[in-house]
Amino acid sequence: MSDTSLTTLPPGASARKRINGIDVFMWALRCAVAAIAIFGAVATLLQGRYSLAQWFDFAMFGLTLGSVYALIALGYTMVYGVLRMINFAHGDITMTGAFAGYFVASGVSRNGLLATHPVLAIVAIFAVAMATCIAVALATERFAYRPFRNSPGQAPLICAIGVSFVLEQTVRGMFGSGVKSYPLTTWHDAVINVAGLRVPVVNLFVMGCAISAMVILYLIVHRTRMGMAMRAVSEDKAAAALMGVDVDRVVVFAFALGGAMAGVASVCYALIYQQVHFFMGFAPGIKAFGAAVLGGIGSIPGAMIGGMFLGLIEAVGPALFLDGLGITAPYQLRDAIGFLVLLMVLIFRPQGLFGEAMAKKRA
Amino acid sequence: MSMRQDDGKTPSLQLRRGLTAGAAAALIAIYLSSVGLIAMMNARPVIANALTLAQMTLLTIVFLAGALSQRPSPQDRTPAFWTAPLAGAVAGLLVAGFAGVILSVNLRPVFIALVPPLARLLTFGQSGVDGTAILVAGSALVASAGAFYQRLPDKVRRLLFPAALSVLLCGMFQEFIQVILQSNALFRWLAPWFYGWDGLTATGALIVFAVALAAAALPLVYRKPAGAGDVSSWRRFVPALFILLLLLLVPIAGGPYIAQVFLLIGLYVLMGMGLNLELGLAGLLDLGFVAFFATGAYITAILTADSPLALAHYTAIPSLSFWLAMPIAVLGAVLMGILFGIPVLGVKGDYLAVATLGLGEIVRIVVQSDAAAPLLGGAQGILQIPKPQVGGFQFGSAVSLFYLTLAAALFAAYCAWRLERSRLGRAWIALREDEDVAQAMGINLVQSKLLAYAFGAAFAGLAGSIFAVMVNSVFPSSFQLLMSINVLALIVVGGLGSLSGVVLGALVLIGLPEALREFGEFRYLFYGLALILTMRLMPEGLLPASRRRRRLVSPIAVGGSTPVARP
Amino acid sequence: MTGNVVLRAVGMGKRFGGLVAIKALDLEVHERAICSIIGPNGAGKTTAFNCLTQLISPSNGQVYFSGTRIDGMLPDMVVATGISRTYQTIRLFRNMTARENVLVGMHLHLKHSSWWGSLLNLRSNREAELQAALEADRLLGFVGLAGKGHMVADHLSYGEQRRLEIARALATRPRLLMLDEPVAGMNPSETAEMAVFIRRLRDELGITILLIEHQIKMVMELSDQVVVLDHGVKIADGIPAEVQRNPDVIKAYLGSGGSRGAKRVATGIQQAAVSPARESQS
Ligand SMILES: Nc1ncnc2c1ncn2[C@@H]1O[C@H](COP(=O)(O)OP(=O)(O)OP(=O)(O)O)[C@@H](O)[C@H]1O
Ligand SMILES: [Mg+2]
Repeated sequence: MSDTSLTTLPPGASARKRINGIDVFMWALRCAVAAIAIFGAVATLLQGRYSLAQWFDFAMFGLTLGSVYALIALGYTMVYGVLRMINFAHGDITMTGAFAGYFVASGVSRNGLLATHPVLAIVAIFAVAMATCIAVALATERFAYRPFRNSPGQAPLICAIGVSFVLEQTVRGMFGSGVKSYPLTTWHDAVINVAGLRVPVVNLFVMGCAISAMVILYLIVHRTRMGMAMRAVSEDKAAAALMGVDVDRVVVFAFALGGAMAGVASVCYALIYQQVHFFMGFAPGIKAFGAAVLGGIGSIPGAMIGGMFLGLIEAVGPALFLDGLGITAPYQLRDAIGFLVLLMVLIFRPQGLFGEAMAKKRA
Repeated sequence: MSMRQDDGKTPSLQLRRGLTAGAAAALIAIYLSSVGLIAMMNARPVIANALTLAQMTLLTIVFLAGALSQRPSPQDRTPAFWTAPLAGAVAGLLVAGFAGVILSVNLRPVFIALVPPLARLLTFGQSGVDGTAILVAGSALVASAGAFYQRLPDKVRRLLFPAALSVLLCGMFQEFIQVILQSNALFRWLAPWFYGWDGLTATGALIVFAVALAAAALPLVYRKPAGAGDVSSWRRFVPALFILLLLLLVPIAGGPYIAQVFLLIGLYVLMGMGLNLELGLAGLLDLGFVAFFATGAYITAILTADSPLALAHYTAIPSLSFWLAMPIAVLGAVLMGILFGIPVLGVKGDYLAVATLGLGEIVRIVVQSDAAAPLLGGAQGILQIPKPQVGGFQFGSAVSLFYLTLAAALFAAYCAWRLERSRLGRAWIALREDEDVAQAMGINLVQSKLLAYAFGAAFAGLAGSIFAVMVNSVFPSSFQLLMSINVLALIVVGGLGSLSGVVLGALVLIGLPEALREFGEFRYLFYGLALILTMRLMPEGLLPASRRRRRLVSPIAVGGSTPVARP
Repeated sequence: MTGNVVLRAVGMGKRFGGLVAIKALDLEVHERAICSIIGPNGAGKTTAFNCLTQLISPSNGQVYFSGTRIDGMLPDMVVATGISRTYQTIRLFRNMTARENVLVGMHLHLKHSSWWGSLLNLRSNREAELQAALEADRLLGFVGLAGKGHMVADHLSYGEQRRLEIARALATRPRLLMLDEPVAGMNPSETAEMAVFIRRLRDELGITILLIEHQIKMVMELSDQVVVLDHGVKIADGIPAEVQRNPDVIKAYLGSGGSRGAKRVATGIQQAAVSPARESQS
C-alpha cells in the first residue's frame, strides 16, 4: 500500500514506512532510467549532432503524433471513467476508422473530388471514419462488454483482448493483409516558414483537428445534460442510477464519444503515416492508454497533456537520450521508449501526473 | 434484440423472435463470407462430392437458428414451432439477397472476398426467382429440422450430437486419419470402407454415424449400478489415460507432420501450465509471458550454438550440451521472471496486464534492435543450434523431440499439480481472491507473487529451450506478443486453473489450426472468437478446474458428516 | 480492568485528502478485555481498524502491540505479532472451501509445509498439512461449522460466512481479535448467540477482543471498556456504565445530522442508560 498522502504530512508527524529490498530496487530502477536519460541527453547535446531546426522537426512531429495519441487516449479515459474497464480493443476500433477513411479517400481521389472540392472531401473522410468508429464501438459495447458489466475479475479484459483480435482479423479478412497507401492530398507536402523554421501544413492541420475535437468534447462533457450524467456515473455509478440517470445510455454515450474521437484520430494518424494496415491500431492504442493514465485517467485535459508528452518523448527520445550513448540505430528503439514511459507511469504513477482524485476512487 | 416484457406470448413477440433469429443467422453467414472463410471452407470436403465444409457451415447456422428459436425464454415459455421455419426463410431470403448484391455490384475493389463464385456458393448454385424460392423453402426446412431437434428429449439429443460430430471430424481430418490407418497393417483394410481418394464417402459417413451412435448409446444400455460412489474416482482418470495414450501413439503412427504438430502442442502445454500458475492460481494476468520463453530459447542458443554469437566463441566458457544448457536456461528464465516481477509487484488488475505487455514488448524490441545485435544477433537471430544427444542417439526427428517435450510436460504437470495443492498454492489462490485480506492473513505478497512469476517463467523457459533446438535457431520475430496471447487463449478456453484444460485448450487452439493448414491465416480470428465466446458462454472453460481442489488436503470426515462433492 | 495494556495507539490519525477520518486517537486496550468502539455511521471506526492493522497506513501517530511498534509494518507482519481481524463487509476467499479459508489463516504457522517440500512430497510436509487440516476442522467445529469444511465459502449462509470469517481469523492464533460489526444483519437470537460466543473466545481462549458494534445493548452487556468515536474524535472512553451516562455521547448520537441509524443507536443508549437492570434480566 503505497500511500501518497504521506508526502504531504505536516512536519513532526511520525508516521513512517519501513524501507525494504524491493523499495531499494525500485529506487535504483528509477535512478537508472533517470541517469540514462540525463546522461544521454547531456552527451547528445555536447556532441551537437543535431541542429536546432532538426530538434524543431522532432518536436513538431512529436506534438503531431501526440495529439493523435491524445485523441485515442480520450476513448480510454471516457470508457474507463464510466465502466472502470480498459477497452483493450480501442486501438483497433481506431484502425477500422482508418480503413473506412481510406476507402473514402481513395474514392474521392479517383473521381477527382479531392482535387476540386478538397474541403468537402476531407469532411466526408472524417465523417465516414467517425461514423464507422462509432458504429464499431457501439457494437463492441453491446455484444462484448455489456454482458460483463457487473462481473468482477479479468473476464471483461480477456473478452476485450478477444474483441481486439476479432476486429483486426475481420479487417484483414475483408480488405486484405497488405499495406494500403493513403492517397496524398494536394497540400500534403506544403510547408510554411515561421521565423526560418519549416512547419509542414499536415502537422498543423492534424494538431488543429485534434485540438478542436477535444475542445468540442470538453464542452459536451461539461456543458450538456448527458455530459453531466456521464460525470455523475463516473463519480459513483450506484448513486447516479438512484438519482435517475440511465446508466446504460450514459455508457453508450461514452462509447460513442470515444468512437468519434477515435474516428478523428484515425484519419489524422493516416494523414501522418500515409498508410493503413490491419495491425496499425494496436501499438498506438496501448501507448495511448499509457497517455491516458499519465494524464490521470478520467480527465480530458489530462489525456491531452499525456498524449502530447508521450508523442514528444517518442519523437525526441531516441535522438536525445540514446544517440549520445553511442547506441546504434536508436530509432529502432522508439517504440521501446514509448512502452517504457507507459511502464513507468503504470508502476510509479498510476494515479497520473495530476491525479489524486481518481486514484482514491479506484482504491 | 432486447425483448420487452409487455406482450407475453402474443404472435408479435413470436414474429419478432423468428425475424431476429433469421436475421442473426444471415448476418453470421454474411460475416463469414465477407472475411473469406466460406470460400476457403469450400475447398475442404466433409463428405466427398456431396458436402463441403462451407455448405455444412451454412446449413449448421440455419439449423442452429431454428433450434435456438425454440429455446424457452422468460417472456415466452412455450415458443411456437412456426418461428423456426420463419427464421429459416428469413435467413435464406437475406443470404439470397446478399448473393444478388454480390452478382450485380462489383464489390471486389473493397471487399476482396466478395466475388461471384462466392455468391453461387451461398445460394447452393440456385439462381433467379425460382432458385430463390427453392433456397428459402430449403432453408425453412433446415431450420424446422433444427427446431425438431431442439424438441427431442435430452437423451436422444445426447446420442445424435456426438454421432454428427464424429462424421464431421472424420470428414474434416480425413488426411490424418487416412495416414494413421495406412501406416498400420492392423487398420489398413479399414480405410477403403470409409475413404475414397477424395475424402469420406457417403457409405463411410453412414457407418461412422451408426458406430458413433452405438458407442454413445452404450452407457445407456449398460447402466452402472447406482450409488457406486468410488466409480467416479477411477472414471475421472479415464479421459486422462485416453489422452495420454493418444499422445503416446499418434505421433508415431501419424508420421513426421503430425509429430511436429504434437510437438508444438506439447510446447504450448508447457507454457500453458506455466501461465496457469500465474493467472489461473495467483490471478496475475501476464501478457509479457513470451519474454520468459524467449529467455529460455536465447540462453540455450548462446550456450550451445555453433555460431559466432555463442558464448564459447568469445569467452572461455566451453560450448555446452543441451542437457547442461537446459537447466541453465530454466534458471535464467526464473531470474528473468523475478526481475520482471519486481517492478510490477504493486500494479494491479487491468493495469498489470498492460504493464506486463509493455515489458514483454520492450524485451522483444531491444532484442530485435541493432543495438543488441552484437550479443544476440538482432533480427538475424542465432543459427546452428545442435540437436540434443544421448550417447549415440540424436533427438533429430520431430517424433523424438516430441517425446522429450512429453517428458518435460509430464514433469511440469506433476510440479504444477503438487504446487496447486501446497501451502503456496493456497496462498496464490487467496491472493487471487482478495489480495488485501490474503496479506492480512500473513501471506507475504512479494514472496508469493515472485514465486508465481518464477514458476511460470521456469515452465516457459523449459519450453523455450526445447523450441530452440526444435527449430535449430532463434529469431526475435518468433517471440511476438501474439504468443503470449495464444497461451492466454488456450488456458482460458481450456479452463483457468485446470491442468487437463490446458491440454485440451492446446489441442483445440494449437492443434486444430495446424491440422487445417489452409485456415492458418484465420487462426487469430478463431482465437478472438474463442476468447469472447468462452467468456460469455462458459467462463469456466471447456474443462473447468475440478471442484476436487476445493476439498484440498485429505478429505477428513468430521462429526460423522460425509464429504459431498459439489456438482 | 485487569492485565497489562496490549494495544496502544498514540495520536493515531488518518486523512483521506481533505477529509480527516480519524483525528489523533489515543487508545489503550488491556489484556483479556472486551473493548468496544461505537459511534455513528462514518465516525471512523472501520478506518481505525484499518489503521491499527496497517491495512492502510495511518497518517500520524504510533501504534504499539504488546510493546512492539507496529505502525509502518506490512499487514502480514502485523498479523504475525498476534493481531487478527474480520471485516465489516464479509471478505472471505469466496471460491475456496471453508476448510481452505481456515488453512489460509494458518499460513503463518505452516512454515513446515514449504513449496519445495510439497514438490518433493516430503513426509514432514504431509504431516504438517494433515495436522493443519485437523486443526482447521477443530476450529470449524468451534465456531459451529462442523462438517461444512468442504463447502465453498460462497455457498454458506450469511451467518455461517460471518462465523467462518471468525474461524479464519482465529486460525492465525491471535492474541487480539478485532471484530468489525460481527452481528450486522443478524436476527436477535443469532445476535445473542454471537455475544455468548465472543465471551467464550475471551474466557476459553484468553483472547483480547476489540469490537465495533452498533447494537448498543449487546455492547453494554458484553464490554469491559467502551470507546466512542464521533467524526474521527474520541469523545468518551471508559467502562460501559460511565460511557452511557456521558452527556457528550448522547448529544453526539442525537445531534449528528439525525440519520436514522444514529437515532436508533441513540435511543438504544438512552434505553440502556435508563434501565440497565431490566435489560439484563430479560
Ligand atoms: N479509502 C477511503 N478513501 C476516502 N475516504 C474514506 C476511505 N475510507 C473511509 N473513508 C471515509 O472516512 C470516514 C470514516 O469511514 P469509516 O468507514 O471508518 O466509518 P465507520 O465508522 O466504520 O462507519 P460505519 O458505521 O458506517 O461502518 C467516512 O466519511 C468515509 O467516507
Ligand atoms: Mg465501518
